[in-house]
Amino acid sequence: MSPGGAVVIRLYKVCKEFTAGRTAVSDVTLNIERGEFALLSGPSGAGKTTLLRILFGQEAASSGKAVVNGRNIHRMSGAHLAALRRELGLVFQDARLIERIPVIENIALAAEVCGIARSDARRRASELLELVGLEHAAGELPGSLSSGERQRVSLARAIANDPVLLLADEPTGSLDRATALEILHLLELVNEAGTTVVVASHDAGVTSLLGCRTMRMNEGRVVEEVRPEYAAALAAG
Amino acid sequence: MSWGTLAGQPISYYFRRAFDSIFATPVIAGVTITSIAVSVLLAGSVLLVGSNAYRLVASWGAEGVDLSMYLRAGVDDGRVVELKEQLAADPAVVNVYFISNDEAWMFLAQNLGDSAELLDGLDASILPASLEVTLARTLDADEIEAKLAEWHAWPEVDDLQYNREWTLRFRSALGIVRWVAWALGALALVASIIIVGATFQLAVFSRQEEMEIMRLVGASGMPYWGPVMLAGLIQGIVGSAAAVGLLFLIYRGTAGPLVGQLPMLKGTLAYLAGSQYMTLIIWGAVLGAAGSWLGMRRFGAWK
Repeated sequence: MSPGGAVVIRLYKVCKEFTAGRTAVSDVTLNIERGEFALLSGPSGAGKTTLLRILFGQEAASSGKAVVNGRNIHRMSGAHLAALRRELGLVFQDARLIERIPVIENIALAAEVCGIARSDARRRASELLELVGLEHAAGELPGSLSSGERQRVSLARAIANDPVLLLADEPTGSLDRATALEILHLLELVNEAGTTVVVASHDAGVTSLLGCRTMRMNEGRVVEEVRPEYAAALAAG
Repeated sequence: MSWGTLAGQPISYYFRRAFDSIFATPVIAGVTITSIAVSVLLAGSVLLVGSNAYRLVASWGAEGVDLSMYLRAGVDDGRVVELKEQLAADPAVVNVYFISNDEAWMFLAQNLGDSAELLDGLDASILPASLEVTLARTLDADEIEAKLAEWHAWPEVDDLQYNREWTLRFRSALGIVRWVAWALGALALVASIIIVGATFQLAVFSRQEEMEIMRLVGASGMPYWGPVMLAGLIQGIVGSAAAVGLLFLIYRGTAGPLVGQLPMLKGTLAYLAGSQYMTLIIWGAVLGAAGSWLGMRRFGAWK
């Protein structure tokens, strides 16, 4: 049995208030099971990004309980947080690549920090570049890539260590529709390979096509949940 | 930890990432190395000038403290030899020689020159014979006074004279040189830390985004901060080596003309000793590593 059992994310009455008094996340309770593909939707400022940041330990919840892959991440820091992050894959809207090193090194580095030998890490990075269709760009610097290509590199880096859970924050936010669909397709492939995927997106036009479990957020709360069977039916038309 | 790995990563990982970061931002690396070089040059200059000044001042008293031990009239030659041997055996004494009445008379006459006729009608026996003693430079004022008291008690000794004022001034001058060197050294230290600290903040700031990404992909502990510290260490060594080389060139360029202008400096000027070189290089390396650490702390990357 894996550390988290059947449930990869367990949130119970999670709240996040910032010092200015603004409430970003309010009383969120939800479970996401292993192998699920889940979508957090809602307008900008709804609390999606903050919720994701709580899940990967970038923000600490003000109250409530957050368990990710069997670990209570409340006030987790240092080596424990790093160990958790090595089990996760993260994708951001702005790709967040290290600009001074080639594309292949950006991916290999994620594997290397997990203790994988450099040669194996580079081999793994090459395979992932092939998977995302960027094998030709291995030696290029991220600055020479388009937004869509950068996002694909970011995705390849996120799955370099075969993560249990992939968290993607607005992965299609800066992309045109066709490129956004490519990225969503890649995320579906990752999910089909067994990784739990949680995507936060405000782009209803694109994400409605996913046909996955969708949790709509507004003003820090989950205000509506659409189960996958309904979402799939909606997506089908 | 097995040979070749550190905190689960091969040693090559640390060096590769350290050199990558240095070569990826050559301008910032250049500024960092220059700031360390300036700091070490400052410290090295203080060390070089201070050690030479100390050596110069010390050379003024290189012969030690001279004193004249005047003997009473009638002390026979055999006893004089015994006293001389007794003094020579004293560890506080560097040198001792005897001046008889006749030799003292002769020196006086020579010193008087044209006025030597003043001595007409006088006899050499009016001048006391003496033992001229040179005391070790390491003796402090109290130890000198103790020796004088001991010797003054000898029945053959009529009087003891030495240039107390000169000795005190000389020792005071040595003390001042030492304190000035320490003060300038401390100033150089503070200036170094400020300069290098500010520069490394710039360097770490330029890598903040990268360090944040590293953290997001799960890097932590030594594999996370080790390359940054190592980069600082390498830049520190390069900067301090450059400073020591530059200091040597400056010394070579100025020592010769300086001795030409001030012949008294001949034989006393010297470049830094091997241990001082190493101290400066190590100081540069420590500055580099400490600068990286301060920079990481400043931007919250040290966690």
